[in-house]
Amino acid sequence: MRVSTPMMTGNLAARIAANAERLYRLQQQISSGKRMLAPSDDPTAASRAAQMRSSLAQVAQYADNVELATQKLNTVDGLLGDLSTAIRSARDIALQAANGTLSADSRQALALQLDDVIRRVMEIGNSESGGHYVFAGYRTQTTPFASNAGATPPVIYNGDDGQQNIEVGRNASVAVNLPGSIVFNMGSAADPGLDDVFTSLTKLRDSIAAGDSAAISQQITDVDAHLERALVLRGDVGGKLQRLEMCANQLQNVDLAVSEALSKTEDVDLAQAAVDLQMQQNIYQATAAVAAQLNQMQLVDYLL
Amino acid sequence: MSTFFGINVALSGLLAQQRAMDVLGHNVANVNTPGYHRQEAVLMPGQPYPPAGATGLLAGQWGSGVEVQMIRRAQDAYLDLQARTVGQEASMWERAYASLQEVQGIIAPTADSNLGTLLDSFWNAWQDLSANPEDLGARVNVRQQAINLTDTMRDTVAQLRDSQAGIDLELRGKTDDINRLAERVASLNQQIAAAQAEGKQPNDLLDQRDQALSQLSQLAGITAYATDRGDVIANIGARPLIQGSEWYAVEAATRADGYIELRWAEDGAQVAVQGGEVLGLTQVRDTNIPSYLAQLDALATNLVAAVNAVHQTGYGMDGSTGVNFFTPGASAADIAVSDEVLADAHVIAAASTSGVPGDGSLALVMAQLRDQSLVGGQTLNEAYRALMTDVAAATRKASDTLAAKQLSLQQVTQSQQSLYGVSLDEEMSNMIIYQHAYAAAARLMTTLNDMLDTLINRTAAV
Repeated sequence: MRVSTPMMTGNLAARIAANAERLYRLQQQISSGKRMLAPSDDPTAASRAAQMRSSLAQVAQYADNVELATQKLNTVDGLLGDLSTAIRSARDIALQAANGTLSADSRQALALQLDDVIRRVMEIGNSESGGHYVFAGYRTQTTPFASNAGATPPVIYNGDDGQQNIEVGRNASVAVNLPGSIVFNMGSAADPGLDDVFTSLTKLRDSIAAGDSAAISQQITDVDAHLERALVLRGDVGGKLQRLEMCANQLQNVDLAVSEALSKTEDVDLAQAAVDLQMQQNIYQATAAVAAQLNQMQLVDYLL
Repeated sequence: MSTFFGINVALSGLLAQQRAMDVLGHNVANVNTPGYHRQEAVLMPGQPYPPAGATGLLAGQWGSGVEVQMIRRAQDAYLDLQARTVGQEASMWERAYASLQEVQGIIAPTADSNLGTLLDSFWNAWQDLSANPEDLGARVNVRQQAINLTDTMRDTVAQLRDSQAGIDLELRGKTDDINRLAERVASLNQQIAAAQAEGKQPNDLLDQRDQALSQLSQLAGITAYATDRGDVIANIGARPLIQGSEWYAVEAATRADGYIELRWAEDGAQVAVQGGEVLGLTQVRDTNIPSYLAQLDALATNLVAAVNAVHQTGYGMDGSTGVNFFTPGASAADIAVSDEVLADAHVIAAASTSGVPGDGSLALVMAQLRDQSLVGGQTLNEAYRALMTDVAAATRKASDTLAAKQLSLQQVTQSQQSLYGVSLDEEMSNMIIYQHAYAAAARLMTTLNDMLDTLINRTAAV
C-alpha cells in the first residue's frame, strides 16, 4: 500500500487524540471514584444503581421510623409500669381496710389515701409526651380524662380509640400507642364484665369509707383483674419492642448489603484504574516519541 | 528532417522536465492541503516524423522528443462515493450523540440528585408526617420536598425545550451552509465543464468541487453522481439540489408545532433529508425528545392525580378537607404545589377523619403511594428509572454506532489518502530524476551546439 505523507501525520494525530480521550476518561474515573461517568456508560448498571439508591433511602426512613416507634413504646411501657404500681398500692390499702377491726377514723384515712391513688391514676392517664397526650388515641391535643364531679361514671374519657400506626417495613406497621379506652377499660372497647379502673377504685374507696368488708373483697377481685390487664398490655408492648429491635437489626443488615452492592456496581476499582492510567500514559509517551522520530525520517532532509 | 531537429528534441526534453518539475512543486506546496489530489505530468513521446501514411524516403519514424500529454489527477470515483456515504453516517451519529448527551445530562444529571432521589425524599417526608401528625414542622418539610420535586420537574421540561430550540438554531445555520455550498458547486460545475470542453484538466477545480460535495454530504446526506459532460448532479431524496450549473435553494421554515423544518424555496415542499447532520439533529428533536417529554408528562399527571385523590379525603391541622395538594390538571411543564398549600402548611392533611390531630393514617396512605403502580403498571420511581434507562440506552447506542462509523471512515480516508496523498519522499526522488533529466537534456543541447559549431564554423574553414 502506498503511504503518503498526510496518511502518516493524520494517523498519528488520530492515535494521539484517541489516547488522550482514554487518558481523560481514566482521570475522571479516578478523581470521581465512579466507574460510570454518565448512565450511558452502562445503562443496565445505572438503572440497578438507581434502584439500590432508592432502596437505601426507603430503608433509612424505616430505620428512623423504628427508632421513633421504639421511643414512643418505651414511654407507654414506662407509664404502664407506673399504672401497675399505683393499682398495687390501691390493693395494699384495700387489704389493710379489709381488716374489719378498723375505727371509722382509720377507715376515713385509708379512704383519703385511696383518693390520692385515684388522682395519681388520672395523672398517669393524662400523661403528656412531646406536647401530646399519650393515652388519648387520636385526640392528642385534648385532655383525655376529666373528673365527672361525683356522678357515674366518676371519670369521663374524652379521647378516642385511634391506633397510631408507624410503618417499619413494606406492608408492616406497628401501633405505637394504646388508647386510654383500652388501658383503663372504658368506652366501646371495654371488657363488659368489668368496670373501668376509675369506677372500680371509686367503688373501693366508698366501700372502705363504709367499712363494707364483703364489698371490699369484691373490689379487690376487680382491682386484681385490672392489674392483670395492665400486665398483659405491658407484655404486649414488650413484645412489640422486641420485634422493633429485630426490625432495626434487619434494616441495618439490608442497608449494609445494599450499600455494598451499590458500591460494587458504581465505584471504580481504583487499583485497576491506576494501572490502566499508567499504561495509557506509557502508550501516550511512546506515540509522542514515534511522532518525533518520524519527523526526522524525510528524504528531503538527506538530499540538501 | 531539418538540421536543427536534434536541438528541438533536446529542447522538448528541457521543457518537459521543467513542466514536470512545476507539477511536482505544486504537489509539494499542497502536501498538507485538505482535499488535495496529487497530480503528475504524464510524459509521452512526441509525434513521430513523418506521420503514418506519408510516403517518404526516410527509414522508420523518427521520434521527436517528449511532450507533456496531460496533467493527471489521482482520483477514484468509487472511493469518493464510499467516503461520502460513510462520512454522512458518521456526521449524523456524531450530531445525534452530542444532542443525546446533552439530553441525558438534563434528565439524569447526577446519580445522587435527580428526579428519582427527589421522589424518594418526597415519600419519606410523608412518612415523617405520618409518625408526627401534630407537627407543623413535618408539614413544612413535606411542602418543601414537594416544591423541590415540582421545581426540578418543570426545570427539566424547560431545559428539554431549550435543547429543541438550540437544535432549531443549528438547523438555521446548516440551511445557510447548504445553500452556500450548493451555489459553490454549481459555479464550479460551470467552470469545470467549460475547461473540459477545451480539452483541459481543471484538476484544482475538481479538488474544490469534491471538497464541497463532501461537506454537503455531511450536512444533508446528498447523493451525487457525475454526468458525461463532467457535471455533477446532487440530489436530496428524490429532488435535485444541484443540476449542472443550476442549484435550488432550501429554506428553514417554521412548522405547525413551532419547530423548524427544511423546505425547498421553490415550492415549499418538505426536503426529504436522508442522512447527515440535519437528519441526526431532527431525529433527536422530533423523535427522542418528544418521547421523553411524554414520559415525564405521564409521571407528572399520574403523580398529581394520585396525590390529590388521597389528599382530598384527608383533614388538615386546621380542619380543612377536600384540598388539592398539587395544582390539579397540571402536566410536567407546569406541575406545582397548590396555592392553598403554598399559602398555609396547616392545610396539609395527615388525618383520615376530622378533629383528630394525632391521626397520621392519611399521611401513611400517601407515603405508601410510593409502592403503588401508578404509571402503566409501574411505580413512579420505576417509571423514572425506565425513562433514565431509555435515554441512557439511546445515548449508548449513538456513541457505539458513532465509534464504528468513525472507524469505517478512517479506513476509507486512509485508502483515499493512499491514492491521493502526496508522499514527500516520492516527490523528492522524482525531483532528482527530473533534475538529472534536465541536466542531461541541457548537456545534449550543449553537445549538439558543439557539433553544429564544428559543422558550420570549422568544416572546411579557410
